[in-house]
Amino acid sequence: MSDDRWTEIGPETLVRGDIEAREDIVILGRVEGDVTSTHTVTIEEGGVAQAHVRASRVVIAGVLLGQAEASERIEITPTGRVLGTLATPRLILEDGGAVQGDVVMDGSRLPAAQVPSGPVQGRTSASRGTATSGAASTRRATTATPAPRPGREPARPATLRTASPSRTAAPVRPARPVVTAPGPEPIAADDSED
Amino acid sequence: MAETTIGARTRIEGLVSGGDVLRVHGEVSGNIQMDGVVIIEAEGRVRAEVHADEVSVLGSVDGFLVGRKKVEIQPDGRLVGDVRTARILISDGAVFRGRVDMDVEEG
Repeated sequence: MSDDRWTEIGPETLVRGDIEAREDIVILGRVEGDVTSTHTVTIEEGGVAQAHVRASRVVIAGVLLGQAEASERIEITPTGRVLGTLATPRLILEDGGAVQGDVVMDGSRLPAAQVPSGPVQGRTSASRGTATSGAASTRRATTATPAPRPGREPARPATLRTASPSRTAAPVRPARPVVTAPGPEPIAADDSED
Repeated sequence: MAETTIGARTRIEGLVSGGDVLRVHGEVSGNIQMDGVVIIEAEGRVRAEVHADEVSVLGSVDGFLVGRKKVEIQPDGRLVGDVRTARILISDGAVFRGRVDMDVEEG
């Protein structure tokens, strides 16, 4: 009852504003605003979130109007209703659950305009999104490319070849920051508090 | 009873309203408007205007409390701010700084 290990918005309660948690959030009432958790956000049956939800896992048994971004997965139960955008690497949509809107599952985040992130991060996630599909299509392209037609030697390499060594030979490329996957690092530092 | 709990690792900025019981183990800043009881638990921190029938402070509050029936500041509770209520209890050990308005009829 008075458990302090998660946050529960009761069925008659409205929260208008931002909720930020390093624990689970359960919504039985109504929430309007940003909801962020390093753990799981659950919108229970009867609960309504008019919100931008960001969490490791998002479970929707109630109603979501807005966006949900999960770093692990989003589950929509048979009673769940979504009007908006879902971004997640894994999506479980049970029979009866309803979604009206975009689903993004390619590893990229929602468009930068909706996420408060700097341009660097925006570019990172964009390149990350295309990285997988791009690599795959490149490989397909190389294997699928037929050998050059024997009768017709392409004339292009001459100029390109001469140009390319000098370009690569001028190596004073600034040390590029290592752009690793921008996984949302949970604020887990204080987990040792208790 | 419709109960809302703000966990110890949760922070809310904005309005929390409606329901019988609100327990705050974490942080709330903004505005709290409950029908029933607000309990600011020992580790809870509130910077808000709080309206409820009863308000019980075991943790720390900066703000303005309106307890339509009662306000209690428990032994380790800390309240900085004004209080308007019908009844107020301040336990030994509690810290309080502010004005009390008990709607006492003058005359």
